[in-house]
Amino acid sequence: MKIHLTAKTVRDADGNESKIPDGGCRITALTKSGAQRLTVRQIEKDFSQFTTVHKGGDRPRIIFHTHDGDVVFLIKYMPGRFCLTCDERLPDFAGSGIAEEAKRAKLCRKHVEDHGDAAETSARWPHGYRSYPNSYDCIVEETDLTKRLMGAGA
Amino acid sequence: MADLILNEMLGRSLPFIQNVEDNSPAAAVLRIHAWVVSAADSLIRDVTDGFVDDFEAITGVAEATPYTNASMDETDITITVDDSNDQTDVALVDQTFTSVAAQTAWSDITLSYDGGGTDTDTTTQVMYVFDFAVTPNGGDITVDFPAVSYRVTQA
Repeated sequence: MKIHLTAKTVRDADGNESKIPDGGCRITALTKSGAQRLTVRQIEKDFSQFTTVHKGGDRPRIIFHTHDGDVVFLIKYMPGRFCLTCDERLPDFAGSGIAEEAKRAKLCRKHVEDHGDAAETSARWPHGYRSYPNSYDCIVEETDLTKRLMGAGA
Repeated sequence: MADLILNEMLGRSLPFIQNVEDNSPAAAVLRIHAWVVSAADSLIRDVTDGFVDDFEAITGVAEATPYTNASMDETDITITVDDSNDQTDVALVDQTFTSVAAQTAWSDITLSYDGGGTDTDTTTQVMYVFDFAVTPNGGDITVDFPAVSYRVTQA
């Protein structure tokens, strides 16, 4: 995704011009497929002044309120670990550090092992679960605006 | 060793990242490699032939038990053009290596551009080297890229 943090020109008492953020944005390109990962940091900090997040309900989404209209990213996966075979969100618990990470990974592998011969793996996720602990995995909702933006950068 | 960019890649890395974001050439990706031995900053910055195999030979760094399956495509990149500060920032989604077996401690992570979309060490161009000290013990390892990954500003 390519996004502009837009600006406005202001003049001081001496007539000198400068640019300041106008608090808004304009998305100028989306991926061709409409898929996009957004980090928790982007949503909670970098883009927080022009986004709205709906995590609950049957249509979790992140809405970018742009100068050209709303661009809605539907959340396919919340941050976390998910089984490739059954798509279930895998167990997690509080605490950080390499010892806790080892325990989490063991729980994930156990879940995958329980699928037996049906367990799916991939080159990217050789242990049968995908892990994006700090990102939302999204797909943009198609509108006239987003259709124009998809692949616009290419 | 501090996070750094190869001198040869100064000014070139943003267009390469833009290629991946535009998916042009098709299937262009960014690749992550883990390394277990560091080299001096000065040596790494001066690498002029930065393909992954050559990088290893020139700097003397040793690649970790290969985890070159971690790559980033256009869905992992956000390019933010800051019109008030006249700069362009790139943000990369964190990448995770799952259940990394116990092995020699990692010292660095490199971020490379692969224009062909194939994981061939002779065509994958190293761009950035990040300090990354971690000792694998069977758990997941997540590479958390800086909040403002690469800033290209006007003089």
